[in-house]
Amino acid sequence: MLGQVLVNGLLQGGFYACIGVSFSIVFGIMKIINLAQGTQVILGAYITYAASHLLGLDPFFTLPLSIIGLFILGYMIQKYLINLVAKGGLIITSLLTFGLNLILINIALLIWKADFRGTNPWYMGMSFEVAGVTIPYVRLLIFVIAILFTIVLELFFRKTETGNSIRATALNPKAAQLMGIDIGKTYCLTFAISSALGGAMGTLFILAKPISPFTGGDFLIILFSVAILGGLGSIPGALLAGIVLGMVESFSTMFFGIAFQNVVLNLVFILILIFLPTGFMGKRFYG
Amino acid sequence: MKKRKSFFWTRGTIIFSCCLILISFPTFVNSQEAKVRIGAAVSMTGRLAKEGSLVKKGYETWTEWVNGRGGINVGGKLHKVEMIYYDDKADATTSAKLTEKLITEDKVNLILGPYSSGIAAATSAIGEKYGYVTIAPVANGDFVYERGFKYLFSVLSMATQDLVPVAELAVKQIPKPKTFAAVVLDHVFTLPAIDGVKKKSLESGLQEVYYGKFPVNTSDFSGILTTIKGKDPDLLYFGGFFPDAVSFYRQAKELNVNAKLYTTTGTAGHPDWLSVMKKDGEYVLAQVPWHQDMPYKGPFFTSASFNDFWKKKYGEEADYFSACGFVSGILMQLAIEKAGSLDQTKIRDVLRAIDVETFFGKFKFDEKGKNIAHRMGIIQVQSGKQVLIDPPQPGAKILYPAPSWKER
Repeated sequence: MLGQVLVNGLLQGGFYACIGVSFSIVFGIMKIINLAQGTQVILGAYITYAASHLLGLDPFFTLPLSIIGLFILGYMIQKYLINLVAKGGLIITSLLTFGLNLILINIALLIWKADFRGTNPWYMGMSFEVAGVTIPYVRLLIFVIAILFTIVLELFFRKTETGNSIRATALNPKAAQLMGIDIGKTYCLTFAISSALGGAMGTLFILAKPISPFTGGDFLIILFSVAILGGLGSIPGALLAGIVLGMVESFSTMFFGIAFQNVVLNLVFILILIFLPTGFMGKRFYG
Repeated sequence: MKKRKSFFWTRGTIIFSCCLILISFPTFVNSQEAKVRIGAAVSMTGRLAKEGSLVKKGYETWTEWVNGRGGINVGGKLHKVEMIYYDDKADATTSAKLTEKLITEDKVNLILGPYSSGIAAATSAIGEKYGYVTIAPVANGDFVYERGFKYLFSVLSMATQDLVPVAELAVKQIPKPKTFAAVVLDHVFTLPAIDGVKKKSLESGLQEVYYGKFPVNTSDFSGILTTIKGKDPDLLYFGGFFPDAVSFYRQAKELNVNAKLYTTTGTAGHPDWLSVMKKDGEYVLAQVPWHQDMPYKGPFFTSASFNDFWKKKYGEEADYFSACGFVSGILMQLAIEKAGSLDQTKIRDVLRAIDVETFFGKFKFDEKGKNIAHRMGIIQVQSGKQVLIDPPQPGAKILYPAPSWKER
């Protein structure tokens, strides 16, 4: 039983981590609270839904489509909307992303109506057992892909020139600009990467739960929790935070019942922030 | 010259004014046409957009249908129905504000209620404040009707009764179930629904092996299911909304949590259940307020002929949300025609005394506005169809015990 609870928490945590990373990089690096992130995740899910129903593709094979689709959308949003008001500060950009969220929801509503949509591939619900612990294939695959994306993203930020320019911009935009970095383009790229990751998470999410244009709002608490607990902008931090949240959820359900899940979760959240005010791996600067 | 010019302008103004009057005359005449203005704040966006939109579709279809018949007969004169809709965004506070706007600013004659108990609880308080009759199409959380309101009427029987027939059906099956587990969303509708079936199960000699509440927005049920798996219940009662039920049963399959009978509060009867769950949605039971195979006969339709009417109009089977909306209109129509007036107190008094059968079912209200004559139907998903098994249908029977997930 304990093993099962551990595995449940780990699998759920992997998803939380990755979805949290997508929010955290924009929040931490660009100081923008993207309130449309949840809906961008759902748009990724809709791309998967459309591709699997119209083209007959397996949901997992639609990952490139949702990544590319959301990358382009994210780039455009940053270039033609957020960059225009970026100097207005946190409140203005938050208002903009709030409005953008409403627009995206209504576009989704026009195209797909308020119906619940889901995918149900043939392997849905199949699982295997290891030492008495049941491991569902889909959830395991979601976990592996989510962790893989998180690791690849961290390597991209650390090992590539573009990644370094993004980190340099986060550290000091003016100095980065003096070093020849195009700030506007860097912001576009960062937002596009965050959106693409969100889109990928949408593909994975629709395998777990049905979606409607309004489902994105459900992610906000998790997005904020993972980003803040992990440390704004920290990818390894978000990974750790996601897994901790998944574990806390799973164990609190076992020991206190699911009714107390949110109470325990918030208690742990507060306790961690009391002792680690910048989160697990947060720093004053995120470069 | 100046005088002539002034005369020209005066004459021009008079002619122009006459033209305006002539042009607006049909509108003027039209606005004098007898009308009943009905207001409804329903969820067109937000978490309940799907269900709210279906209820609205029921209202719209009723309006079109009744106007096609000439309108509502109020004291011997036909009145066309004019509907005013607002989107409450699935938010109770917004819905209450919009209902107040409908009454005080739009000056509607009548109110048709929103979708869901949580929202109806707020809007009915406004109706009560202004002495407006509210017919609640799909809001049967018991507490909504326990506040001493005099102008509120429920189309449905109370939530505590929703799943009682499931327990009654279950104990008649062979091998007889001995235990049950119940998992329920902490919500004004799902809690009484599951508590009702739980009470009935205990009275019928079944043993409770698990009872757990979960909060809104729970997506991971693996913890609960792991615990339930260890208890090996015969019956699994699940109370939650559509996304909750999908996640719960998908994860039940993933973790191979089996029972002889699976239940949901309404969701297996939801129009999207079959397309989203496909074969994983099989064998699940749910209560449905209305089904086309029900045996009811009304003044305008039978259950079957209403479905035929709907199919002819929309090319699809009628869903129960829309049927609830449509019958709310019929109920209002019957009450107005009997009262012979748009006076709220008279309409309320007629509704209080009404005892009628419609295509939807029977209507008889107690002093709290609860429909004590309505009984939920029970469907089971069988071979991709939501088959009505209670009230009993010729050739339809419950599939019991459900095969394990691995045997399917």
